[in-house]
Amino acid sequence: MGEANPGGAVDHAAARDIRPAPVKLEVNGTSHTFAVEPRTTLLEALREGLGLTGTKKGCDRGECGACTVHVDGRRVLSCMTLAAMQEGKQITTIEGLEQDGELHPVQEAFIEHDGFQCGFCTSGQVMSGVAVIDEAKAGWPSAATADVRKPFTVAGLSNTEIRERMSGNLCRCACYPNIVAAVAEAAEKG
Amino acid sequence: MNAVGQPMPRTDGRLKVTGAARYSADVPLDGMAHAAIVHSTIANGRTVSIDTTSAEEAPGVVAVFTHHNMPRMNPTPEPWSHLHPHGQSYLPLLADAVHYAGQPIALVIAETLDQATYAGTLIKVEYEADQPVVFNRETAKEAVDPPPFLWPVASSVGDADEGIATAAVTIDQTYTTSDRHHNQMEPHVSTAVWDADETLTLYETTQHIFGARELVSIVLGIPPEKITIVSHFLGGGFGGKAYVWPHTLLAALAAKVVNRPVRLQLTRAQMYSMVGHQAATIQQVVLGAGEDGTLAGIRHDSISPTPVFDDYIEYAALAARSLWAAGTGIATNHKVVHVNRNTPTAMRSPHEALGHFALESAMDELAYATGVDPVALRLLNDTEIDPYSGRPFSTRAMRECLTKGAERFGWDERTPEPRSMRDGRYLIGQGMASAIYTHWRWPAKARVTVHQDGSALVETGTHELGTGTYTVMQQVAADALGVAPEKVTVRLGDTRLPASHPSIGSATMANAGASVMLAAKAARDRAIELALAGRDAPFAGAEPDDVLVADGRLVLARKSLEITYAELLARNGLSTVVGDGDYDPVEEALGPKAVFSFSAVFAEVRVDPDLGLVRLNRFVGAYDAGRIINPRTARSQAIGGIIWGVGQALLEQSETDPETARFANRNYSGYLVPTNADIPELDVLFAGGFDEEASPLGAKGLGELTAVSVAPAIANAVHHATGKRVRDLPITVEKIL
Repeated sequence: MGEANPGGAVDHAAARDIRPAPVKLEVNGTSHTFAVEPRTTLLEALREGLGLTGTKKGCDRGECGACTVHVDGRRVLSCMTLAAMQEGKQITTIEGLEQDGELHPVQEAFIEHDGFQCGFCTSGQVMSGVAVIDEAKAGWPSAATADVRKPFTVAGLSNTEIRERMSGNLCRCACYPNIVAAVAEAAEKG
Repeated sequence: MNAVGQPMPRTDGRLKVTGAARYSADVPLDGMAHAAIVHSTIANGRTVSIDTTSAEEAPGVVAVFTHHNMPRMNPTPEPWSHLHPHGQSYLPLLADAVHYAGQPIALVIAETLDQATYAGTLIKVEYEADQPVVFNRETAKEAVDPPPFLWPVASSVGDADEGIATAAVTIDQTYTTSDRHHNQMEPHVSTAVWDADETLTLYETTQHIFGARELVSIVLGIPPEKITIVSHFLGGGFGGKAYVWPHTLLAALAAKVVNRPVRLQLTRAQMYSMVGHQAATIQQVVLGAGEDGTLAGIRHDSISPTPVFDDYIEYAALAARSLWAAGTGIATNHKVVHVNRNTPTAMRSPHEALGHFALESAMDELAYATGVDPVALRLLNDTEIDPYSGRPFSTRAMRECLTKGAERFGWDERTPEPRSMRDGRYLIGQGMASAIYTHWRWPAKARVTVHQDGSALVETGTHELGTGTYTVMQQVAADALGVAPEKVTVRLGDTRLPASHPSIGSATMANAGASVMLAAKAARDRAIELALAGRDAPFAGAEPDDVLVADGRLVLARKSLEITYAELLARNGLSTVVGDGDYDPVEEALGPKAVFSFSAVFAEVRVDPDLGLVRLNRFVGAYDAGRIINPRTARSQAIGGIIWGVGQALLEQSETDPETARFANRNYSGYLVPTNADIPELDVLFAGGFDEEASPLGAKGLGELTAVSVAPAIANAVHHATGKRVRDLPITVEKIL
């Protein structure tokens, strides 16, 4: 992307086929209908279309985790997800975690354990942290799980498990030990 | 209770965990267009033709710029200065010349980013390409002497060669480090808005708003008072956002032409060729020592690449000038090789993190050559006098760092022979290293306003890059005013505020922090004047020195009198009292003491003997950064620095394709940074204390220091584990097997 393409053919057909079409997105419990191009990512739609800028673009190719949101309760990388395919699905962003002015326990724990510095990756870290606890409760093992034949429980969410499960979210300020402490505390509390 | 010294949680924590903190790409603007850069695929030559016809016809496109129609710019100013710092002198889109791969050659403005990016792919370019020059051991033979940049290029105190020539033990080795990229999580972005009265506002990703204003003013030829730079939250800087890079200038010019706001955000890949990096080094260290390990002479020489149009120097040999005493002398030198590459820049920790890898690896080699324990060797060569300047150090808690760090780590239990420690089938290695870091002193201004409700406002043009600036400035002002921290609001990151210095070199706490303290004290003193001689003065007849401040009150203890700020202001019919802080330490920097931060760090690694995989088991860092203002945020900076160093030691390497001179791994899957799963528990302790020469706050620099000497500690641990001395970073499996 962005590199000049010497002698490359002009694909006007492709240009004509990318006209915007309406899509209805359920974001943080509110329904929004607006026009997106077929190529528009969920990340771009959230940020530019809905003004939900808490979700960050770090790499735009699914490598850093800063754009992590929940779709139907599961974490997805919104930069790798097309907006037009999310019709009818429940999308939760960082702006939707707070309930009636009360922070989510994972958000509280990130503040208490100083689980961030610059804060740019934090939305994605928090969204992953919430999902990690839900995934553990649902019995999902990880690559760090010693015995995948036994049902996994949230009590098994050791620091090693949390490190593995949070490794899709890069933090260049490198608050990793504090992020682990925050997720561990939130998991313990409930 | 004093706020300074307390582990206060971040005052901006709630904004950051809710996604409400507004970074530069998050500012909503009506009518904004998006820009996409098209960059060169060759590294040396020129563009013969650029056909933009199809791009201009593509949906949503507003304008396409090339060197044929880009408005002209003034050259970047000489000499280079922190007051108006350009990242590189060569400004793109002004001529057909191509000097490096990834150089911008066109700029597309469209309604949406997708439209701009797509249109960019329609631009057809013909090049006339020449063979590019890259940096390697062959081209390093052509290295030349550069003009000085930040420090003298060469140094010689005493006669290093004499000490080396007559030494009982000599270490003479070459160490190399790789090109690295900052890879801040937040991509560089510049949003330019021109108002009807020709004023320019730039929402920037910058660690230096005032420097950006001056540089943009000079290059675009508009007065600085017509420019506002805003940066309320920065998504990581690490040096890479300290200076002004060309995309900022392109965004400003494009916005002027299309007469609407323009946002130009670099892609992750573009960040490899447009916004600096840490240049590779080839370093030679020669140590001469007595049989007991006492250093007789040190020679440290370094070569690094720089573009054909700039003379950027990685001052890798800087640390050798001041870290250890040497009997007869210390000599250092730096050379550069001109290559087809964009300009390198400061990257955590510039100069020192590169040089310490070589110097502190060589010290470990000396420890093994003499049979002296590595900690004992450093205690033996510790110095209270800066060998370079001859000045005594203001404070130097190196011994405390070494002894406390060693104790915490359990260094006594280490058996020195390589391959002598095991954990099952794994080899265990323990290594250590020390560090020294330059303490920067720059002028800074701040303003503190106390309001009639007893609240206070701190205003200063410094920055929050993750270091906790909003929080620590609140703590400093709260103590100086005698009010609770939660009564203090802090405003940063806008050139309409009092001017401050760049947030680089770990300088913000000591310098910008001092300006906040002075401003708060000035506001407090103004209030004390009112209490002594204002309307219906409660402390009439007392001396200013008799008045204390605490809990939002002025207190005259010996008469058991007190008055709140709120009541005092109301009584005098004032809505505010204001104090200005003007901290200028430039004279002091030339004073009788040498001011540096220090550390000793200890690493334990586990090496798989069959696969050569190195894992960090545990790490202890002991730091003398003067007085610690906030132990919570300081610890976070330290663990961040350690992990930054783990990246340097084991993972980070920007690979260059020797044929095209392109950076080849321009993304997070090709350029490896530490992930959560790479990092064990880290143990941080602070030694030393208040340093009055460093700052009125007693603080020295911390953030950069903590990323220094992680790499040699790990390399020394790998040697201890395996018996292999790896002198080339990063330490990857093929260098161990």
